[in-house]
Amino acid sequence: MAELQYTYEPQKTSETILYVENLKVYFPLRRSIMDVLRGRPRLNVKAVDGVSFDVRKGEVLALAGESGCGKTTTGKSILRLTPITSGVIGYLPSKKLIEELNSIPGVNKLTQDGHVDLNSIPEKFFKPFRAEIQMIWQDPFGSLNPRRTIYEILEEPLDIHNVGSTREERYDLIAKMLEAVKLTPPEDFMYRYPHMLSGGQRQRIVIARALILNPTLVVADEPVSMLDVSIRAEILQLMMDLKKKLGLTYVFITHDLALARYIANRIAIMYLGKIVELGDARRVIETPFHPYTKALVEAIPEPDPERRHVIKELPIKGEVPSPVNVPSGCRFHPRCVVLDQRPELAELCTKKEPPLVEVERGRYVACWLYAKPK
Amino acid sequence: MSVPPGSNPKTQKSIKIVQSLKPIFGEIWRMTPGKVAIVLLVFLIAMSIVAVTIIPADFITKWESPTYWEDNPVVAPPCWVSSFGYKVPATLQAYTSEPNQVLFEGNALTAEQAFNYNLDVDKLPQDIYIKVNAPLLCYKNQYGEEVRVTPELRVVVERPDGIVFEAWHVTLRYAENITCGSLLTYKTGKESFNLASLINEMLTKYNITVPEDIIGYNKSHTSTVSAILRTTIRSELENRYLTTPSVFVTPDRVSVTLRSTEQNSTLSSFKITLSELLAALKSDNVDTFSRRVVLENLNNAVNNITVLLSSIQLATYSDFVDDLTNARNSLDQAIKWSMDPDARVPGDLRTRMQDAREKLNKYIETITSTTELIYPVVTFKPLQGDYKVTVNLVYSGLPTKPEQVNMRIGFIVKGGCYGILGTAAKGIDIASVILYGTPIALLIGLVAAVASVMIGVVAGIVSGYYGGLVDEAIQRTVDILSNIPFLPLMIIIGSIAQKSFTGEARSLYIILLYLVILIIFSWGGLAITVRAMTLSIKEEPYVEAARALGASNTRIIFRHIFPQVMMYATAALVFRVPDAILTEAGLSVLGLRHGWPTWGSLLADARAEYRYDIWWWIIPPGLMLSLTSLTFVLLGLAIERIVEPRLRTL
Ligand SMILES: Nc1ncnc2c1ncn2[C@@H]1O[C@H](COP(=O)(O)OP(=O)(O)O)[C@@H](O)[C@H]1O
Ligand code: SF4
Ligand SMILES: [Mg+2]
Repeated sequence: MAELQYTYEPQKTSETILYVENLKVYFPLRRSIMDVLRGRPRLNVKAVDGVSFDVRKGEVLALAGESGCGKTTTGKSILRLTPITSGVIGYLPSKKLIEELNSIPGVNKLTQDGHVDLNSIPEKFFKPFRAEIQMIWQDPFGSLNPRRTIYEILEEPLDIHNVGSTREERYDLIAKMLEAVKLTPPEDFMYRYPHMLSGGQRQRIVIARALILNPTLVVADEPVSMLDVSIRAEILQLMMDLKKKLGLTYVFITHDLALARYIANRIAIMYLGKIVELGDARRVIETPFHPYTKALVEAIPEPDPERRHVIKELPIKGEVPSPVNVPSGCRFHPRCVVLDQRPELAELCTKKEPPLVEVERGRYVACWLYAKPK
Repeated sequence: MSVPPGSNPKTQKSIKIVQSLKPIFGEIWRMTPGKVAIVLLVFLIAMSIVAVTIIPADFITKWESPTYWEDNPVVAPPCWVSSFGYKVPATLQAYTSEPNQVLFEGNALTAEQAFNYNLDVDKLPQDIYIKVNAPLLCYKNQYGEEVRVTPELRVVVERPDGIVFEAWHVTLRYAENITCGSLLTYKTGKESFNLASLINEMLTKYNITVPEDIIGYNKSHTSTVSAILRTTIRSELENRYLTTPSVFVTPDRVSVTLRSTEQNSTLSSFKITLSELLAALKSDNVDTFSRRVVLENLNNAVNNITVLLSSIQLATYSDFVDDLTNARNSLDQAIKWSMDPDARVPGDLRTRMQDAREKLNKYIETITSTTELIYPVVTFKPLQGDYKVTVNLVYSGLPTKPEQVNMRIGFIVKGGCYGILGTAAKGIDIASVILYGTPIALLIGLVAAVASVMIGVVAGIVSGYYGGLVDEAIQRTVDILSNIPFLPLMIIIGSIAQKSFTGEARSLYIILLYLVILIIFSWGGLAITVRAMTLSIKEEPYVEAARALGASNTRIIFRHIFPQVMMYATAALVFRVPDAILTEAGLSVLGLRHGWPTWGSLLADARAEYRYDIWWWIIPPGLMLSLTSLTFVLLGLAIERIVEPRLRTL
């Protein structure tokens, strides 16, 4: 049996469709003229501050955490929609694309299997990646242009990537896609405007638009959080069916642990721009190790209606600090209740950042409770 | 899956554009301002179409030339004013190319045409004249020489009071280089008008004479006095009635008086001068024969004047002229005898006598030829009734009857009103300019608005979408432009343009220059708004989604940003149309003319002629400017109301 890792390293095998290594995304804060004159340093919003994980072919990896912890920013970095500060996003393209890449100068090839550094691809050669990596958006209202018909919205990706040479061909593709997301008969929906559809129907359109180009990796950013509770399950079921049918891999962003347990294979728990726990979704949620994960799990609403009214005391204190001034040492320490019981850890927790150590096979936690300082 | 018939995406798309316009039109029509705006707009467009189809294209360059409007009365109100009780003489512009009568008789070709005019108000027409176009005829005489025959023009006027007189009688002339058969053109004017004949007829008809008690005993003065009367009438008709309209006047009041007392001081000064001479000659006691004759004559002269002075109130014209002539004759004798050395008259006295004689003689001439003494006052009034004007064109001395003689005879009475909107200075037909001004105004307004909105939209989108240095440059440019005072700059550039542009296309260049400057100064505000809209649309999730799909910047701009901005820009465009029209009018009124027939030009003319009191000259262009502005403001408001709720969803 191999040794457990002291610090987490993402897996980079031929089964790894994507890995993220030490990703940092900082957003500079605007300084006022007075600040500039006083010579104050430029402050950054550390939205993502050293995140590593890998995604394996055909799995669902959940990225979970409170809102504002950097999930969306991580997702957008994968789609190269936001400039990253540092780190590597290694992606394994389709065979066909790997061949094409050989003729492009300056591409950083990371592994023998063909992982490429997405951020090393010149903009003009990035287009084929857009077809392979897609995103399902959180907001079914804002992410559809209110002035375009469903037909036009679904035609746009085909138009951009020159899919379908004739109008009939495109029409067929669009109709098929609408049927795939269960909007039937398709002709009823094609010439409607988004505002003529319900929230659930719109989200189906968002899904259809993401899948019409046959992507391999799909980043779904809280795809059901803005929908009525009653239709969430339908949409999730649709996503899972499509995944199976089309052989997709999902990076599933959510703040809902119950939902993550239901659909994800593995889960990464994020706190303030960093992953604090990573592992098999069921195991992480059933027996959380990290004090933050424990608090999150405690916060999951009781499925039993009898006990729903009991106000639980959560094992957490205070508020989420600003990502501009990240606490020293363990970034969770101002809120950690363990510190109250284990004061001897205080020195370590407030000074030194805990590494993401492997505590069981495939289970990683970033907490001094589980790691020995080297 | 197959495509259902009739839902081909392409036809679907074009149908959709039409269908999406229809509800917008319906929405505009449902609002009261929108309805008014559409009605006004249709009216303006109809006017433009009519203007372009019925008015000849050269109007744009010729409209300011006085000959273009030659037959129109000047600054005349519209003819419908007469239905509101404001009586004006009618205007008549009759042309014929087929005279009533064409005769060839005794080697003469005579064409005759009669015209009628009815003067039914107590006001005079501005002018009356005949215009003829007749060919120069030629034939070869027995020596084989070419003989040229020009027609003789006679115009006889029959007035309602029975006076018949020959108003014009001229032989048309031709320039040496003119070829046979080419048309000679002649317009009768006041130079050739036979005013003397009219005056004669009036004197006889109305028996206008100088009363005998004013002339006095010496009937031989009657003709001199009549000549003065005649001159007075003539100058009255020439100066006050501008000669040709005299056709329509009849004497109203005639009085002839003697201005006797006014002569007192002149006569007294003659008496004093002569008495002083007499005293001076008496003082040296020379007593020769010649001297005595001198003294006696001088004395007679003094006596003549003294007698006249003493009875000046009762003196007739004959008294004045005869007494003064006697005095002058005596003075002549005195001077003659003073030349005799025996008379021993000193040189300086002789000179003084001669001076006195000159003055006296001049005075006599004055009272016998001017109204200094005899004072006729003649007033006239319009003569109402039917006038018959017979025009004769006679070619005489033709050996044979010519085959075909094309002639055109025109009879013009410039009355006191014209057309449906009246005329401005030079006889400019205001209705034509108002009509022709409509397409020009719409064109100017649309060109400027479209250009300014296009620049504003492009600059705003580029600025907002790309940001950075381009954004900074565009925003600073807008800042600078909005801080330059537009009007003063425009006036300076306008006046330079007035002087520096010449030639055929001058007007076009000036207008284009105005438009360019206006466009340069007007896109800024829109650019700022569009930039703000672009910034907000750029952050929309669906734009990010498009980017995730691989959409290029161009695609995002044209598919996602531009369509939304365009809705707003359309309203902005409509609001901007009046700007250019009003600027053009304003600059024209300030004297920065361009030369095109615009509403602003009409107002500018009125200002240049100081005729702001002429309502029919001021109100139509003013009204059209206001109506056009109103149209586009109302339309803009209606469009804005449709666009606004969608703007809020951005
Ligand atoms: N474009 C941006 N500019 C500045 N700050 C940003 C930007 N996008 C996200 N942030 C900040 O980064 C942090 C993480 O945001 P996000 O990734 O959206 O969190 P999550 O999706 O987990 O709710 C938040 O504090 C957010 O305010
Ligand atoms: S490292 Fe320390 S502060 Fe952080 S979670 Fe673990 S015990 Fe709490
Ligand atoms: Mg988010």
